[in-house]
Amino acid sequence: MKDEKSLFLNIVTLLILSFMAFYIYKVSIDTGSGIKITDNITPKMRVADKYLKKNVLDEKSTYAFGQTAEDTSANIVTSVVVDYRLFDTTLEVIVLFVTILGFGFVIPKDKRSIKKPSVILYRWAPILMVLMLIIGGYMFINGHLSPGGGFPAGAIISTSILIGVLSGRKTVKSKTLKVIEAIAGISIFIIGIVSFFIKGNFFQNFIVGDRIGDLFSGGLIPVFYGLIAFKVAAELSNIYFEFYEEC
Amino acid sequence: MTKVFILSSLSLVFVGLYGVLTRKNIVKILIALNIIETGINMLLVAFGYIEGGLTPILQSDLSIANLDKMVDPVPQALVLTSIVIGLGTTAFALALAIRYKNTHNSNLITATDEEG
Repeated sequence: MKDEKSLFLNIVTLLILSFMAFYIYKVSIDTGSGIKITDNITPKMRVADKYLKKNVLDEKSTYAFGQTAEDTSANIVTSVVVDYRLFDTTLEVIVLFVTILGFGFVIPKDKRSIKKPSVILYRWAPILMVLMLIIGGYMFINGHLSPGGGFPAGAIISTSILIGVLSGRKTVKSKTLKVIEAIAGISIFIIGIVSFFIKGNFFQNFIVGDRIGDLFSGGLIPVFYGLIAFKVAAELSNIYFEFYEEC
Repeated sequence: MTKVFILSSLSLVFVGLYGVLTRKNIVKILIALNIIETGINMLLVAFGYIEGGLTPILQSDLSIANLDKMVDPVPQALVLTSIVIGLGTTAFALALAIRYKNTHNSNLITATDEEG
């Protein structure tokens, strides 16, 4: 049984799992009485009906394109992430921070050297980095109008820094990244406290009256997404620097 | 269409479960856990799908008239956060795997038995 490729073990596991999968599939597409998981006929039954109709706080507020509305953005997913569920998002950024902290604590501090990069990678790295930084910047600036947002933008920016690390070029110092991360993390909560003093609620959007669909709309949503993008980019870049320390 | 989504995401989950149950290599187990995570994310997005659904982005007056036909934005927002958390936990688990390799000189989870 110690062998990884033991035939008997694999076949038994495959049989048990396929039986379980078949049973779960039958339950999930069941259309009998009771709670239906995938009810796509009556939209009123869906969770997001209130989010879509924009009446979570105020019963009468509705969407109107090109006019003022409740503090909102054209991308409804962004509205949910950065407006209605902002507590969720900030605590999730803190969870990411804690995992990176534990990563830096756990990983052994021996020297790992990278192979010398080829000429092609060394010459092409700056061009790729510039392109990826442009796309990342576009993503978090346009996060409230188009698909994308802070988290993918942070991942793209940190990947461009990874290319710099792999090609052996000097891009940013590890200390600078920590300063950026600290500033972005603190300013998220400072804006929250400021909105508590202006509006009376923590993280309430205090820039209202924008037109839906403009580049500068949504009040605080682009600001928060930019801060989140910088924080995620700095955290993820720290992983790469920890992996290739002293190269 | 919803059936296809549910079937594919369930099969991804169970492929990952199969890998976790039968493999002995830690890195392979971590890859299998990531496959499970991808399947669960797909399952959540599939629960919010409706037939012929539109993207939940307002583009014109026409899309405001069709708010009922948009797919559910809440599971998409939750999946967005879950992906980032998955990346952080995977990095942490890989660091633990490197430390395990340093102390036990092996990548297999049965290494302690061989050392005695």
